[in-house]
Order: sequence, then C-alpha cells, then structure tokens
Amino acid sequence: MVIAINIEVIPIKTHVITKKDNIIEVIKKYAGPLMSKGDIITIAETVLAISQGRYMRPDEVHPSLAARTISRFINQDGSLSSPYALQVVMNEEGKVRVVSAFVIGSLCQKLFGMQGVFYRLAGAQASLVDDITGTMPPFDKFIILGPRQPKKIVQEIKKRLGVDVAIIDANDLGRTKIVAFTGGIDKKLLEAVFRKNPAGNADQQTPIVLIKRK
Amino acid sequence: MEGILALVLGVLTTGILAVNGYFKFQGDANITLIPEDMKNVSLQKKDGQYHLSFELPLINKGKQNGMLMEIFAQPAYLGKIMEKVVVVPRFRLKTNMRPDWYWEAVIIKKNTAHILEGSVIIQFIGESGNLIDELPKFTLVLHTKTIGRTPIQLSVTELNFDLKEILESGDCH
Repeated sequence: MVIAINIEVIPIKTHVITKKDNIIEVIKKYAGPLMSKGDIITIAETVLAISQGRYMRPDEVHPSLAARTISRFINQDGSLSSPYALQVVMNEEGKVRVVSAFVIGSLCQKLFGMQGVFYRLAGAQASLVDDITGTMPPFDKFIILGPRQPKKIVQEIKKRLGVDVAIIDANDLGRTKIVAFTGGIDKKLLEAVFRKNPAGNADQQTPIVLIKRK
Repeated sequence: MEGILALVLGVLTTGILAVNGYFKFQGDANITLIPEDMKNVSLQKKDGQYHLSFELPLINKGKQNGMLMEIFAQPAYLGKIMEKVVVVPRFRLKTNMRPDWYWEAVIIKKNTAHILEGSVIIQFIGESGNLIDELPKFTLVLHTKTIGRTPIQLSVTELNFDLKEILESGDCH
C-alpha cells in the first residue's frame, strides 16, 4: 500500500501473539528481512500488551460498588461502560484517582461543557483498555489493558534493531493514538498513515506495520 | 447537632434513592433465546454422522446493549445411548458466519433481533446404530453468559427435539 509519494506502508502478518512471545523476537522474525536503515516499525499497543500478559477474563475480576456505579454513567460505546473493564482500570490506576476523575470530569462536562476530562485524569489505562469483543479471537473474551512501560519498550527495540519504533492504538473509526515513539519519528506523519488503519481491526493479524522511506 | 445529622442522612438517602431510581430507569440488557420460535429444523445423515440443524431467534429485549460472551450446550441425559454416541453442539450468529464455528464474543444492541444457527453432530462410537430408534426425543440445554450494565448473567434454555417427528415431517434427509 502506498500512502504518500515517498512512504511505503507494509502491514506484516504474524502468528497469534500470546504472553509466551517476546515482542522483539517477533519483530525480528517477521519484519527483520524487510527492514533497512531509516525505516519505522510500529506495533499495535494491544498486541504488545498481550505479549506482556496484560489480559484477563471478566470472570477473574470482581467489580466494586464504585466500578458498578460509575460504569453506569459511561456511554456504552466506550470500554469503561463495563464494570469489569472499569474495575481493571481502577486496579491499575487506583480507585481514588478514577473516582476523583469521574467526579471532576462530570462537573467539568455539566458546568463547562468540557469533554474527555475523565479520560485525561483517570490515567493512561482508562483510554487504552479494551473490553471484551474489542480484540480479535482468541482474545475476544478478554479485557486487555494498555502496555506496560511503552516508552522504555520503544527505546529498547530501537537499541536492538536499529530502527525507529512507535506503539500505536489505531482503529477502523479513524481514531489514532501514538502511545510512545522514538526520537526520529514525525508524529504527524504517523497519525496520517494510521488514519486509515493499515493494520486492520479484525482478523487481519498484522500487528506490525513497517513504514519505509523511499 | 441532631438537625445537621438528620440533614446529612436525608441528603444521603435521597442521593442513594435517586441513583437507584436512575439505574432502574436506565435498565439493562436482556438477551433472550426464543425456543418456541425455533425454525428450519432438519436432520441429515452424512458420512455416518447425524447432523441436527436449526435456527433460533435471539433478541435483546432490554434497554441497554449487552455482550454475549459465551454460548455452549450439552445434551440432557439421554439414557444408555450416551455410552454409544458423541454429541457435539455448535452455534454461530447468522450475521457472523465463521466457517470454523468459533463463538466470537459479540455486542447485541438493544432492541435488535438475530438468528442463532445451531448444529448438533451426533456420532456413534464404533458400531453405527439407528438414531431414531434409540433416541426418538432429544433435549439440548443451552447456557449463555452475557454482560450488560450489571455483572455477568448466566441463563439456561432448553431445546426439545422430537427426532421421530422431524423424520416423519420430511425434514430428515
């Protein structure tokens, strides 16, 4: 797929990544033969999180009264409308932080019409968590958190493989979040590339995207 | 002091009642299978296996979307024939016809109706027998696991098949 005149975007198919996989080895195995100096490697944040074992079944989660109450006020299009996903975020970011973010976010929305305050205050996991049905099988029945230490991971991959690296949260709705990236990357270029989500959001199984500068 | 305490208690009680009232008004998902509207029931014999297939309406009658996480089934006790057969039930939504029949967790939006396609393979172990003679009636127990606004809900639906009647009505091939 050619997005711009001097950029080539190559989605790379892999096996189903699980917590037994080392993401650096996976990149080396599948993208290594195609990589050259100056390329950018992007990894889907969900897949990185899966390789870190950051997923659980809702049955393993016990939603607190706070999670059950707050989730009721969140639009059902969002993952946090599920008391289970919200509880998982509370476990990661802290109950006090999430409850405070909800109170402040609700006040800001009602009084000043400000949107998204809750997600900004509740911590990174609030916007990165995927509820069940949010990921391709076999993880469609799992709640998946955002990756752990994404900034450290991109630096580590760059050090090992010698190319710039970004962790992306993209979907078919055109919403792209660059979770972490190394210094040599133009963030705007990445956002433009991932607006069309070249990695796909369903069964494509292409968590790695190689961007080649021609 | 007593007045302040009464005021605090009053505000708290009103708050709790208001939130509960809001939740009640908001409602929840209510994903239900309708066994009485089951249709296209057929029985086929293929490669020594019996294939019972059917279509079952699945609706979300609730006020909220819900996620149908799992659907699985097992036969009710069949009698002595259980020692001689293997029963494999599989399900998929007609809107998500996976060729591998893997049940993918799915969001069922409020006020929507779907068709659940069911397939039950009944295979004799070892010596093949006549299924209809040995098992004229068959009951399948379906378990569903859903998540809506409230914690996980488990439900059970019984499907009754009169295999002899299916045979006589000509739906057995």
